[in-house]
Amino acid sequence: MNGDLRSIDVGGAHLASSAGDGRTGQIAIEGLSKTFDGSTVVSDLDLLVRDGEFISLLGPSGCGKTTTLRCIAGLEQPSAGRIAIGADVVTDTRRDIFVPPNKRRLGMVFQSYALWPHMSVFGNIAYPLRLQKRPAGEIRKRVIDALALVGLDHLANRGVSELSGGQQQRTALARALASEPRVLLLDEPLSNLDASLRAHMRAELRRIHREIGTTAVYVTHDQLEAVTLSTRIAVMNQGRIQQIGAPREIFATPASRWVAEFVGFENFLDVEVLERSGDRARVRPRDWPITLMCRTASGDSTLRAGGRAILAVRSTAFQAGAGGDTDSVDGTLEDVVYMGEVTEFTVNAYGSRLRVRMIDPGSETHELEAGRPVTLRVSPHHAVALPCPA
Amino acid sequence: MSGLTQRADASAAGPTQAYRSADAIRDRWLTRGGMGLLLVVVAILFVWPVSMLLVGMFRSGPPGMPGVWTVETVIRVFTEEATYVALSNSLVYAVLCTAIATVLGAFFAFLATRSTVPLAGWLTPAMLLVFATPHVLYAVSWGLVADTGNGMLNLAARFLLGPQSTPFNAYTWTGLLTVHTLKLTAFCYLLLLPPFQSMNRSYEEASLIAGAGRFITFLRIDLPLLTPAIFGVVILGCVFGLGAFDLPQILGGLAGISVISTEVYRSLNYATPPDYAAASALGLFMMVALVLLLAMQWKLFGRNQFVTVTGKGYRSERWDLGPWGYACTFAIVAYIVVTLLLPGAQLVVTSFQPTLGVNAFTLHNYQAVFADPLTAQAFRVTGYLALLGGLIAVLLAAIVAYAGRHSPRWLEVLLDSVAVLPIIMPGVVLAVGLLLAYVSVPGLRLLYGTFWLALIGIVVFVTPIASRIVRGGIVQIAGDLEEAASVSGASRSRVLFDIVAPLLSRSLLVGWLVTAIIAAGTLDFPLLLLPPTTPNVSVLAYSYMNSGYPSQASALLVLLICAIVAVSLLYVLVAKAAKSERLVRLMRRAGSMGGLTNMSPGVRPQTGASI
Repeated sequence: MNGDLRSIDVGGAHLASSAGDGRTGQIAIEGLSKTFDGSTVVSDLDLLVRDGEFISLLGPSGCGKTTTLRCIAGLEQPSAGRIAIGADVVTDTRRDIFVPPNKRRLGMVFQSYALWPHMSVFGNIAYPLRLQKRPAGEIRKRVIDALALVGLDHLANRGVSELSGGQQQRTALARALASEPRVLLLDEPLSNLDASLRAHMRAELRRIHREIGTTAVYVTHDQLEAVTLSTRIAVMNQGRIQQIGAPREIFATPASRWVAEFVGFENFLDVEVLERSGDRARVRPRDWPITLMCRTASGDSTLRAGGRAILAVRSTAFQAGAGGDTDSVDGTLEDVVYMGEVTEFTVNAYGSRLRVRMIDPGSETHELEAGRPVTLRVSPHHAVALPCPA
Repeated sequence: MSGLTQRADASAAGPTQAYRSADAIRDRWLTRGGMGLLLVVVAILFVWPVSMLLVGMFRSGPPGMPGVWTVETVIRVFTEEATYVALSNSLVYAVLCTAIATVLGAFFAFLATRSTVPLAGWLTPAMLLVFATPHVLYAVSWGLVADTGNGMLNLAARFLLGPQSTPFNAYTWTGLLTVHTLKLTAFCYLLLLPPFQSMNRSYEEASLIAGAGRFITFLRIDLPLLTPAIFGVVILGCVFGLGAFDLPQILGGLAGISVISTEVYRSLNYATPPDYAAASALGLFMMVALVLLLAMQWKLFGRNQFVTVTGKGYRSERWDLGPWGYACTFAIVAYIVVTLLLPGAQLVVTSFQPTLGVNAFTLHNYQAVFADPLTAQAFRVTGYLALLGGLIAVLLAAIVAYAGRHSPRWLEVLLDSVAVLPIIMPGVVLAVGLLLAYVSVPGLRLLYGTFWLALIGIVVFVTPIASRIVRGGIVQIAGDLEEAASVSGASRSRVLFDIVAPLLSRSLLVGWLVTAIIAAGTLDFPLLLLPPTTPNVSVLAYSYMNSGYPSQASALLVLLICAIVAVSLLYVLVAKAAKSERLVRLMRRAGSMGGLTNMSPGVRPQTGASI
């Protein structure tokens, strides 16, 4: 191929990330594009995944996240772009480089798991190791180690069709990890499990990543999975990365209205920026007699005093009753929906309709019904000013 | 299933009490009565001829005539050397042809489904055409193509190699094996296409990620996964090879090659009085061989033959075979030329020649064919046999499969196995069984030598095939769909007409078309069962051929294949007009929803249509 593939390190610690030069598991994607039959699925995407990082590609279906993952895997040939894993360029459309998937030394967990039904659990996990022509004793040891890592040591000789969904998932993970891949790719691995099993496997994935520290790229449309597992999240839409950052960053200060909606902000108000200092700003929603404190998207330079912006407020950012500070909002209740754990209120405040959710609103709110006046406090931590779309 | 639930619901006390007391009892008796009737019909059609065959071999004298019980015939047949020559010929014929045809079929199926080879798209239409071509036509045209005097191949060879060379002759072992293999390849290809298409691509992708190249992936992932499907095709190929009659009779007859089927035919037609006992005894050989083959398949792979799994397949690029691709394209072109163009052209050309090899254009053959009063009648007979026989077979298969699904498990298995029982009997043997069965009963004896006995024979013969096609369709209609209709207030019959019939219509139509095409081209049944005065087209062409009028046989067969193609095109139009595409999509969606609920991903075995 392109000659710079290093030979596979046979010895070394089992299932531990190889120390290397800190770039072993780094993935550098530049200008990646992919078109299928004229429609663009991934468009000029840049992404740098650091060694040992757990990065999630989060987005709605059709946003290009799976295609991006498959381009990294080599299962898809990009229309344009360059991908380097570690020191090796595996794809470069300009230099006509394409390393086939079997030469990329990766591990991948498929959405359908893709466990070969004619092989046992052991056979499935040993397959990549056998292809690397490792000695039988070492294969056995590595398979057993991998099975122990995912908690399936007792099932090595089962046929894969005899496994439950969760066990198949673990087997697929063990197979992907057994050969010490440079990078672990996961394509919506939990989407076929039921809710409680999914929560359990989420925790397991966290533990396993902490133990082995392999660079992982995780494709999902589930925010909870992305938030709980990732060091960083890349939010994708229409073939582009909309925002990339630590989970806390994405959820506290989304970079655009689309990201804000996607991560669960429900109230959007047109506002005027009155003053700004650092990542704080004071804004006045249109037609409101009062002003509100809020965050600004980090590093955003378009917001300045006198300009216009969009204020995004989570429905959970509100508290009942007036507080000591100035940011209390007077309004009228339009609707109350008891939802069990939370209660959802529709509040008309100065002509704007707000959606408000509170956990256990307290005894006095039981008497709340449509038509009553209410006073709400707004937490400045859960309100963020976004730049107006151009 | 839903029938049981309904009954269970009704038996719960409460407001359903009124329903239970009157209607439920009536329903139950109707169901039981219907089931009983069905069992009787199925037994008469499928079980009785088989058992009569077993009995018949110990009976001297023709059926219906006084005779004695004896083992003499059986001993004579089983000790004759000719029997074992025919048997070993049959085995060699079946195994050799099937082995080559399966490899070729798999190769072409791979090209069609998984490669970017140019012209791979031509394969399926070409294979369908080869499959639809009757054996008689194939045998006659190949006899002409490789005619030692004026066949195209030998003319070409003489042009290249000199006037003395005649390398080709269809009336030889090699010729017979080649022709059968070419024809069987289409069958193997068509059976292998679905498993190749439904291969879960992520199995391959997982192997590539694991570090295996494409060739290793093919050897260690694809091939083992396809083994059950391929083995199933091998078994079926052998079954057809053992039972083949048309080609060995026409091509092997002149070469003095006997197989079991032709021996059966000989003992009925060349002996006076017809030796039914010997025919039955010979038939037993084949039945035992076929039962062994089918049992072997059953034992090895159980009921789930196609272990390939349909998963959430991601679109996957086909393999670019590089320079090998052109070699493969050449193979495709070569196959199409040899199996379709060459015999087709020869047949058409011959039909316009005064005699074979005389290069003059004449309509005389067609005029002679049309002048023969038997011709119009033969086409009528063929049409009735094909369309009526196919229709009855498909409806019967649908009823059996549907009733089976709504019955206890043991009854479903019983119905299922009985409906495919005739597959253990090749055409000629089945014909003998039918003659024995019907002629030995006083009232039914009137059917002997009439169109109706041939019709019954065709129905029994093609029902197993119809059953496989229709069953696939019935399995696809998830029980949920029917139950949803019941819950919505539809009665059993409404469910049948509103839900099952529309969803099933496409499989029924496909089943009808396939069985009709098979029935239109058969020679063995009509030859034994039709009265000599009313032959069908195959028999008529065969007799033209035997009387030394190959040009007129060609003209007749050209007309036959035109009729078959016309009916097939009509089907395509009807299918389009009936918006069956929409139905298919609905059915697929229903199927995939049924699959999603218990999707232990990756390893849900799919029961496909197979024997």
